[in-house]
Amino acid sequence: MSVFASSTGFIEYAGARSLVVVVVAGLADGVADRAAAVKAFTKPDVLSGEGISGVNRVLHEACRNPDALVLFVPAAVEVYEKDIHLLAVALNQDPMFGFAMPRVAGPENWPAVERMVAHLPPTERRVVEGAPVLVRASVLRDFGLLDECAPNLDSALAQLFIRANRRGVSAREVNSVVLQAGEGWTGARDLHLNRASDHAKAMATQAALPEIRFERLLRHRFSDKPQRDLLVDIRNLAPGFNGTAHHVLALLGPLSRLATQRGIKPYFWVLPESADFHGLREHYGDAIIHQLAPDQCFDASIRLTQPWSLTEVRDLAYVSPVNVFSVLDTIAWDCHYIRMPHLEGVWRAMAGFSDGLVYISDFSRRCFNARFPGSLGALNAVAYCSMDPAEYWPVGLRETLVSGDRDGEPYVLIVGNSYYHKGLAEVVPALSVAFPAINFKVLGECSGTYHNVEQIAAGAQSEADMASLFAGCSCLVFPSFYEGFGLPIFEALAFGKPVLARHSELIDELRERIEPVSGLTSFASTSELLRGLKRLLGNGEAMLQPMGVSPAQPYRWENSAADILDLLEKLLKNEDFSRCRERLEFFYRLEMFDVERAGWADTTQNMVSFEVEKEE
Amino acid sequence: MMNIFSDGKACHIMMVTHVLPYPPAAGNEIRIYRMLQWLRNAGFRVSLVLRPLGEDVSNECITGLKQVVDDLYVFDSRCAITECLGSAFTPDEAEKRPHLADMQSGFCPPWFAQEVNALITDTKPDVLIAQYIFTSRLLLTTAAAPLLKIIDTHDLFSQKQETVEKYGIANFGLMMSAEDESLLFKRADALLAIQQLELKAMQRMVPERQVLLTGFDVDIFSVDPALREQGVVLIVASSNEFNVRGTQDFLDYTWPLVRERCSFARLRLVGKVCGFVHTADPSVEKIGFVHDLADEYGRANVVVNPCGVGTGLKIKTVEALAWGKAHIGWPASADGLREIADLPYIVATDVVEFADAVTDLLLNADRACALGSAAHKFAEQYLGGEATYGPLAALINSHVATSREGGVNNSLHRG
Repeated sequence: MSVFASSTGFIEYAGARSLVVVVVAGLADGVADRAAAVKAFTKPDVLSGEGISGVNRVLHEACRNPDALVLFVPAAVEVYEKDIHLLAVALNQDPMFGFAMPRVAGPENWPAVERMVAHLPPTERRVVEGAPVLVRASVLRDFGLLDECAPNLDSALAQLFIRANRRGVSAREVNSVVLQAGEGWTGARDLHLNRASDHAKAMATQAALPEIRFERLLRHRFSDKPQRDLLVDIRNLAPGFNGTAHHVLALLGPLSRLATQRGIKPYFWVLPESADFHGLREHYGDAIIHQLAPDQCFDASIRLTQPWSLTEVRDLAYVSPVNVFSVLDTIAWDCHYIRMPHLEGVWRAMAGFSDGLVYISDFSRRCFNARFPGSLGALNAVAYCSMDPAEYWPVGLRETLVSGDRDGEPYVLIVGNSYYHKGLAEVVPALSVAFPAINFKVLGECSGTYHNVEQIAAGAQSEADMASLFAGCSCLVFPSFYEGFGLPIFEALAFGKPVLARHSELIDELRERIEPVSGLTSFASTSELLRGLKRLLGNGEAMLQPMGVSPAQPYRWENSAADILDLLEKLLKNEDFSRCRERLEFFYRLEMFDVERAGWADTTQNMVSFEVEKEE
Repeated sequence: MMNIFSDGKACHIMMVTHVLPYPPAAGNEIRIYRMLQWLRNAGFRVSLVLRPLGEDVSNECITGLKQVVDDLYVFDSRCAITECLGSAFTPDEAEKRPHLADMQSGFCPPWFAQEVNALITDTKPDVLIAQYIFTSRLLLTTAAAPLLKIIDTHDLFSQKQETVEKYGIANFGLMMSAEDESLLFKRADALLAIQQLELKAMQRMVPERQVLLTGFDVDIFSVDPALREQGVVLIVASSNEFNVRGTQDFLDYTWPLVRERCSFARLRLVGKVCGFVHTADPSVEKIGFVHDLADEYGRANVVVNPCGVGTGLKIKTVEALAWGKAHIGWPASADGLREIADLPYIVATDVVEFADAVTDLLLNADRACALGSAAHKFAEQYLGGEATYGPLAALINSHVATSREGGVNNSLHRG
């Protein structure tokens, strides 16, 4: 049987003097004096051997004073008069507030909780799960004293709350009151409740609240850890080679190395089949994860590819208080024929709720900012792909191909795919007609057949075959109207091949960044394309030499990773969590819509109501 | 020259065609018309049998052709089809191939073969010329057996596959294998090749047959240099698919390059091609079909042949040379010409070269004049009527002389 003690005193609030009864639960030898820590209160009387029935006798007396308050507190928790005062003030906000609960922190997490509550609202709605809690005496008077058959005080208090709540009385958690618990405090409850499915439902509903998620993220964020942890979402990495895979794989190494140097532990969230295909476990060991544990949190998270679904945005929102997304380009949003109907919502959410956005070019940044002004409220940074030709293609492969003899007819390589914005439809027929004696190889699908054009499906090529294609060409024509970066440009420059790309602000940006490399030229019209290619073809042997000039200040994958980490570190230093709260709120509301659509009212709610409506 | 033999009769040539050669607009129409004209002027008696495909022969056509033939027989849709009483021709190996027989039946149905057989019996020509291999079934008619049988080939259809593929044209419809084409060639005693490369190919395909080079003759014109208008470039083209594609490509890719460097350049498009090409460029004037090209050639500074591919002799190029114009064409334009002598015009291998050549000639009048003079000389020397049809006339005369004397001209068959 539990041992209780009680003491009484008075506090001044709301212009009146109120009686406060303090019930201390779970007394053990030598701790009875803890209750006496409340100055100006009477010395606690130990209600030895009487259990909850003894407590009820005290409560019965307290109920005689309708304005009295009763504080139930575990013996392991220290309470001060100011704490009781703040709890009373919270109760006084609303006549239907019958319970006010402080926060409790053990010595090991006290600093984290202190920092956390500074970002929380003064009070929040909560379900009563036991002590510590300040209760209006009128609640006990109107809805009955504690259930003497309850196995413990927490269960009795929860039952009291249920009875009161069924009649409209609710409870508040007061974030400004953080009580310090002694060693061994866990906060664990052992609730045994009968006919209380409404309590269970309230607890489940409460667990889904954005405030609860927010609190969990903050608790992790402010917890004392040897290093910060970063979730890198690369679930969009395919088990194969494409532009996205190139970008992601090239970043992982420097990102992992530099993060560790900065005291950040990265975790790479990847599909198992992609991890297998790219051999990621061999390189990154336990940093590779395929599934997150329930309630697993990180200090920050970044998705290295742009999101295509709200689920992907929500996934990061739920696991870390700092969310960063990479934006490669806005093509899929601009071109209506390929735009997924929900993409507008996805990118609006990303722009409006993410903390940081990383772009692969300043051109992409300007595009995204112009289309989604909400993104200007996030921290924006540009982390280019590598612009150092030396970082393209494995060194051995490059050297072999550069030094080796090539058989076959010379050809001009054209890179694109079947998407209209790649510009193949405008360029391939023109080049085929304009240079009937020249052979062209098109990497990617295009419509039509031409006597001098060989089409090569991009997805089916090995890395060595791809390298050979770039190494063997006379020059590269890159006709895309719209790109975020244009990796093929650098894949060709890596072999010293001149590139003739369709003119755009992006190409101007890249040319400026790689000065004094002159291998990248542009065309703005079909006529310029034809003259440009004629000029390149006229250079003959000179084109087949390895590029002798490198960018003066080559931007490497390492620089890209550093720029990403700089952005993340700025965000980690920042303690403005407004966007975090907003996105949790947003996704909470979406989930409520799902709940509504699921038609809960006809089943679950009827069951709860039926049970509750039985006699208590 | 009068081709009248000792018996007092002129040598009689019967030609059968599905092409309506008047008014002569397309290349093949011009070729047939000019051949008829030359043969008639050379004293041959010329009978023309017309069986157009799906169209009626206009009065204009009949009136025009009557000027260049002695007898004209028309079998268009108004013609009552006679009952076919047994086969008028002896089937050969080609007829055993269903696809070839089907194709032949489109051009020469049995009733038509019977009609032609009757005509031959009645009018007793010395020579039967089938235009294209598609009318070669008529060479199998019983009455044609003793005649000199000739196919004017126009094209090598077994090589057409490669050509049309260059333009991505699918289902051309008249393509066949070299073996098929050889079987059809064998129906003739002699084949007329339109240019040297095709002559060589035919000699390889049917070495036992005589193959004559019978190109495209042109009238040599002289135009007053004062008529030239600054910046005018001329294309003359009919509406066949090669012309349409070549001209459209020129408009899309070459002409803009010309205009960039020569803002005063103007392009005049002449011929039926105008109805099939599109451009919004105000510097391009679509003139359409004209009966007399003199004015157009007169004002042009440069004449271009925009067809990058094609078979046969490139009539557009030949005409430009005959008009003494500075000319630019693709390598295919020189097929059949480069074998004769050094080319008197510019052959471009890409559109930039092509455009720059046009520009240079527009900006350099002296060079254009010099090139035009060289073209004129070339045409005079190699493209006149006598040079073109002389060997054909000699072959016919030789045959007639032998046959009327009761002999057989064995020199025709080499096998």
